[in-house]
Amino acid sequence: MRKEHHKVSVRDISLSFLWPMGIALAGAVLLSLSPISRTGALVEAAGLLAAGVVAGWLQWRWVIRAPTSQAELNDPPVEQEPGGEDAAALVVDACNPLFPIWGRHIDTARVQTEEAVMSLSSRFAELSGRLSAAVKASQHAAGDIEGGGDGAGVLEAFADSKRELAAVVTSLNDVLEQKQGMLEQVRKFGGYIDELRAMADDVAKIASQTNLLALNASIEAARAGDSGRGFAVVAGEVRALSLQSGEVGKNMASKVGHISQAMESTLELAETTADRDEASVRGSEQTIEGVMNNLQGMAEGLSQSSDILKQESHGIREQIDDVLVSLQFQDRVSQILEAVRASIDDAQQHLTSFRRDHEPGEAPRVFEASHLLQRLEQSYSTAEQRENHSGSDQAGAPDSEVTFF
Amino acid sequence: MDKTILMVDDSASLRQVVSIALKGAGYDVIEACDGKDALTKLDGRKVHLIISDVNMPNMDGISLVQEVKKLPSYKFTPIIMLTTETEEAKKEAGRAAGAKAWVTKPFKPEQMLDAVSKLIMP
Repeated sequence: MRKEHHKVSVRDISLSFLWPMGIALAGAVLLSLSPISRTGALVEAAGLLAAGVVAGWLQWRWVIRAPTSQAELNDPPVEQEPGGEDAAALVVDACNPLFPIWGRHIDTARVQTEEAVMSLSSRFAELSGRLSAAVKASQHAAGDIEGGGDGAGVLEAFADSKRELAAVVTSLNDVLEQKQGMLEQVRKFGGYIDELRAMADDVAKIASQTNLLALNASIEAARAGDSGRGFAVVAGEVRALSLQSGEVGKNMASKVGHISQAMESTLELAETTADRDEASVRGSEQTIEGVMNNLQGMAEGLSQSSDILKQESHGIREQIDDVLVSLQFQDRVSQILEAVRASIDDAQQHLTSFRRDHEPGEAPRVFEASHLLQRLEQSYSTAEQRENHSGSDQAGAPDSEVTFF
Repeated sequence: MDKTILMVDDSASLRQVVSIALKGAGYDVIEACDGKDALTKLDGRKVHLIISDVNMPNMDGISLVQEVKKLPSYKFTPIIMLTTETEEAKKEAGRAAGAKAWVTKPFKPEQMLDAVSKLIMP
């Protein structure tokens, strides 16, 4: 079978190359404009560029004179427009400046995406570090709320404080009780004072009776005359003693009265102080309870905040891990672009060589591109490159897999 | 003492991503951009594990594993291959060269850290 496209003109060739060049140019422009965050767009743009280049090769093969079968090689076309090879040379010359431009676009896209991804990953690393520091600081501030870490835990420390303060209140109550006991003792002294006063009265009565008795004895001694004179002396002395005893009794009553007044004042003061102490202890109990309740509320709030922070931190870490996975696609895209870039260079060198070796008026030669395709295929390192090459449906990047040997 | 890991990849961004994951778990990381650079960076240092890409300029990952296994000081240093390659033939080449594990990109940090903790030298 002979193909009609072997009868070509410069215009035909130029027109035939226009659309692959258009595709490739569109790919190159899209590649430059694609947002870095959309690796899919970058791959599509690179694919468009590669498709343009490959379409160019195919046009070269089909339009210029690339037989696709051994039969065609053995039976080359006879109807050849004069100057056809020169036209091909013109196309090669026209296309040659495009290759380095495509290459530079690809390099720019690779460099820019790599720089952007490095900047992004640095920021995520910083975010992750700051998050860890915040969580650590929160746990440190809360003393590791649950008490499972190095610290005793705020709630545990709070319970300890509550116990210690309860011991202080108990101690204050003990002091209060002791004071009440002392007060009871002082009240009992009041009873002794009355007894002492009665005893002083008794002494005064005894002195009065003794005085009366001594007076009677003096009268009886006087009646006895000379024989009672000694007895009269004794009676006088007894009377003097009774008078002294009476004075002592009065003094005793007076002192007991003073003591009684002093004790009453002391008792009154002690009772007032005891009431005040009791009110103070009860007030302290209420204040401590109020403060501890407030602190407990704060500690529980802090505990809840710390729990929420922990949960949020865990969620954010998972998201950062997902981001780190996504950022690795830049490396994947870079490998795909690198293969396209190398293939463009390869194609340019091959076309230049083909052009250089062609002499004007020389018999037409076959432009063989299969080794270009072969080298392109050998450069692949991802499953999607191979799928693109074969034209099979893309399954996308495989999930991460770990194989231990 | 923190464990040291040598990370070899021609992609600076990928090296950074791996470093972030490893440093976040408390490991020290030395970076090298290809096999030859990795051999230079080893330079008698104590390295507890090596993570290497497969396709790299100057010296690829499989050749690096073969060279490392020839060095008495690093003969027993475990090596993890981290690559986009999923072909069994490449994987087999890595195993034959002496690698201990084959992790495909993009990797999940959790999986990588799990593999590292299982293989890293004490």
